[in-house]
Amino acid sequence: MAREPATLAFRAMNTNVTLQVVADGDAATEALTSAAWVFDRTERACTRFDPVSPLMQANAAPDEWHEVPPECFMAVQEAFRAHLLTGGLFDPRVLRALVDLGYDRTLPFGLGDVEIPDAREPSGLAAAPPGRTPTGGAAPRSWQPRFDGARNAVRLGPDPVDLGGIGKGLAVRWAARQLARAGSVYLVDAGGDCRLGGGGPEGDGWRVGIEDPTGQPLPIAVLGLHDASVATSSTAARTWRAGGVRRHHVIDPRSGTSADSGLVSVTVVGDDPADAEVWSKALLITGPEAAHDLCTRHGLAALWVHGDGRVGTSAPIRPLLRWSRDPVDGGDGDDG
Amino acid sequence: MAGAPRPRRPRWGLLAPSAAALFSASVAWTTSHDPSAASSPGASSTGASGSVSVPAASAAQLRQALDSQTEALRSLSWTVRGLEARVRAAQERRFSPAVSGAASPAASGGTSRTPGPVSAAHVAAGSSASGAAPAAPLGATAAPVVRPAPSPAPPPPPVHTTTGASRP
Repeated sequence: MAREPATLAFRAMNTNVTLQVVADGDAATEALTSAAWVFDRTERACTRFDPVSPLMQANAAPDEWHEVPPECFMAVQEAFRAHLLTGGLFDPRVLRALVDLGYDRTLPFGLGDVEIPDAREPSGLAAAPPGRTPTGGAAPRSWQPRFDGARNAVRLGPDPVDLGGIGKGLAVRWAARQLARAGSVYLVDAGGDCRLGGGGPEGDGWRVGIEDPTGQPLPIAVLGLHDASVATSSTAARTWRAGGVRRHHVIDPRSGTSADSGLVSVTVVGDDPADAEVWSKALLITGPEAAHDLCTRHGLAALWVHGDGRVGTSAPIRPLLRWSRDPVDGGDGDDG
Repeated sequence: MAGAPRPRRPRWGLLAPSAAALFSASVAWTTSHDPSAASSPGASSTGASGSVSVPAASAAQLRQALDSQTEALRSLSWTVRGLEARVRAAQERRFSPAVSGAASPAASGGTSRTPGPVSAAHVAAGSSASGAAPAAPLGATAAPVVRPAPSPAPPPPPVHTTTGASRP
């Protein structure tokens, strides 16, 4: 018999957060509260929208050492690991490009078209030296942050960084640990970055709908997940207009402007929510052909949506599909 | 008798054995017979390839046997027509979006691509659970050809949460 989960919903990191856990009253309350505090601490440590946040103080003088809270320290470490893992496709140094494009403040996404009149043309990342990314693009200057674990100190390098995406994934990871203390069946959902514990309230799997990036009400697919994480990156989310040009928040570090790879949405399923977040962004940036290669190389379970609405999948995600709006190809990892 | 048409055993698959025996004993028959001529006692007629001669004494029994078989054929014909009507009705239900959506396997939490249970209507229509076109019903030359429209996707199962474009 299904047990009703205890639920806590709140707003953090400019998104809606929902926490659920199946546990007895006091244990559930304590776990939900602890998990909510995780989001609060992570946001305060890693936000770029507060000029006195630990991250922004480090960004103000990135070539100097800065002692930062553990959440910020670990977030920079994880960002560096993701940068290396993805061959530079994930690059938190896109902060300058985001600011140039007009995303220099908390924007009211979801309340209609956001128009930014005073945006500048993107200056891009630092001048790219000779070199190529795994996908053939010009590589920006290599990132070499430094870490001092004894005192939680970081030296970011010459460029400021944005920890928004990976910070949210890490908050989901850390919040899930709090909920898992109270019960094995839990949910952490931060704007679609999810960690799902156990098999859901009914025990037959958490059913996660993948939204259609074109705004159609019917989902593209429904996943059935046990003890898994899922994240989606989309060019349809966090969009604005600057100087009459539509922009979105996923920046291609090779061009220094909003990614235009032919994909509009990528969903990745994995063990860890931060990793799923990183890979969904990297695949969205790199485009369908390279995404297919990366999925094969790293064993990624991914579903992507082309600009024309076609849906592609990697082989590992197909057994997880409980329902799909369109037939999904069961072939050799090709687009479905 | 040289030159006379050789008596041939008629094809009486639908007649009872006794009536068939009666016929084979008293009738010189051709395969291109005229049933209306044989229905009159003592009548004779010329067919395309020979003649039919029925003794008057046997005509009454013959007619009785034919009437019985005619009635049986009529009854069988009605049965076939009834089956045809049921097949057509089943086909229309099978390809109606409103009905097929309600019978979706996903309503019970199954995978949409998993074939649902095969109903009696599918079997009667010669269809298969894989969506193959149903076989043409018997005697359906006058009936319109029913082509299966693309089956609409069943509705998605209820979800616990979503991920995607509206979740910044």
